[in-house]
Amino acid sequence: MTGYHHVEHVMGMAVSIDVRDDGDGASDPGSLAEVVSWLHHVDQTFSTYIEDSPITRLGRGEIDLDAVSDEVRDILLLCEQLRDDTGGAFDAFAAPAPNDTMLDPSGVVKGWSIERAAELLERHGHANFTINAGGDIALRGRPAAAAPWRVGIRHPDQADKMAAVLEITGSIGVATSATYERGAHIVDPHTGQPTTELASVTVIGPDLTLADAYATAVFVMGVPGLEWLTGHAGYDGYAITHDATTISTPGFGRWRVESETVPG
Amino acid sequence: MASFPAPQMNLDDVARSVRLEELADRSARARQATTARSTTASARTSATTRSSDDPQAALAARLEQLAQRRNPTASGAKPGTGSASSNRSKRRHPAQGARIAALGLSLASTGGLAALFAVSNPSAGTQLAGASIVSSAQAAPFTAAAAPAASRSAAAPVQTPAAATPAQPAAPAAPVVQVAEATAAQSLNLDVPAPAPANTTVQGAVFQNRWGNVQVEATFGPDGSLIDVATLQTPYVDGKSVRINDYAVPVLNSEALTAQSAQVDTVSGATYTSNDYRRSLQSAIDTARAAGVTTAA
Repeated sequence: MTGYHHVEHVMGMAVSIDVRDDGDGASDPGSLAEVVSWLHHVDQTFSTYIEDSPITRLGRGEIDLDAVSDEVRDILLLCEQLRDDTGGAFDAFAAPAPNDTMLDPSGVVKGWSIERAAELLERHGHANFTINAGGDIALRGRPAAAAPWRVGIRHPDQADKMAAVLEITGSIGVATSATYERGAHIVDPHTGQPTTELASVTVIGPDLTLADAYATAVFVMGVPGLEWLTGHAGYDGYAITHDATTISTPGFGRWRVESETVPG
Repeated sequence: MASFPAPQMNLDDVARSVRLEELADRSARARQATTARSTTASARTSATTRSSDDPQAALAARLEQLAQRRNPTASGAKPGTGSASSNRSKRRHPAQGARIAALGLSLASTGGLAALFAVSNPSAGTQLAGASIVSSAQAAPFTAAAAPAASRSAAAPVQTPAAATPAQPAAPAAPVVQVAEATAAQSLNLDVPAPAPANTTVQGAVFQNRWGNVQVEATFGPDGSLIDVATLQTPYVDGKSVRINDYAVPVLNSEALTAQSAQVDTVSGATYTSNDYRRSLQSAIDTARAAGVTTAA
């Protein structure tokens, strides 16, 4: 059995790595060490909590774009592309970050870093695993022969219950943006005010980097954001409003398992 | 199909339809904002393309602007900085203008959009036997008044008894009244002065579309103008799904939220902090996995 399960606390959250491969029996402790090391590197580079991270220094104007690594530049360029694509609903320059700057690419960094971590595991020959970083999940393959991954979407008001269950095989990302009981904290870049229409938005699609960013953007846009999302081939969305209604894109049904338990 | 029975309405149905109406209304309002946003984005994109085909230069300018806002004196010392920033701020004006223009355009064009829909999608609804779509001559006052109303929600047809509405100068019948795609019809809260005492309320015919029956109730002011439309019946699909869009494509699905317990491998949710995690279902699953249990929930 070469599969393993590990929870790493990094980037201020828990990252659950669940590798199910039993493969040819060869053990591969190196893949976990590499993934863990990568996640800490991302934290040091992109953290808006760390005083001397490149992102903090860039946000303060202490260094300019020429002084940062390609990955930082690429992430910021991706943020700008996403700003145009979302009509400004996603904007890394819009809200005050914890380091007291106005530069915060976190909305894309988490999904991107987990997507890269999944590629790392694949390079080590792993084909069946999930990486769940604070509720954003990169999935590959299957949990067991002939079984799909079963992914719950958290119920907004009941932390131990699910609003929906998805069945997934293959290379897929699932990301959720929500406020739950902690109060509104996702800011609409157009108004500077917290967005309040939706309680939770889940986006599913081939790339967790984009699924993560789209979930943030749809959360800001509200219900029309789901219509916007249908213009992005391969991506589907599921939103829960504060008045206990769920709204989903037409393609979302193909992922979803019918409710198996009595509503409660 | 002709003998389609009128559905029984219970209190849950009413509560649901009210909620969906509110949702659809919010959605329509937000859609206007989104339209404005997209236009802003394209204006911004084209402005950026005009000034520079280099996204990295645009990003650098934005960072520069950020730095200048933090510390105006320091960044002024850098040659070139000022011009980059002022280019940036100049570029904002057309975008903002476009946003306002887009809002106006969107308000002005939705009526036309509804009319277009009525013409381009005549098969979306079918009439019940005995229920007639309002005739143009009879409904002239209603038609004229309904045009702005339909612009907001593709109003369902209402049969107006001739006696209920005082004769008005005949207005050309707009096709907008025959918009058949009255799905989860929204209540129309028109911005009109408080109604005078002599309002008239009439119920429309039950109208059937692909998803079920639609019936609305219209309230007319003393001068025959339409001041409100309320939904009496909205379409359902097996009691849970209803189309919340009016004429927009594609179609979103809506249903009531339920709470489920089921065996899952992993949970998607916003656990932003380690403290969130400790209280999460994912944490329970991880604990169970560590203890050698295959799945938990």
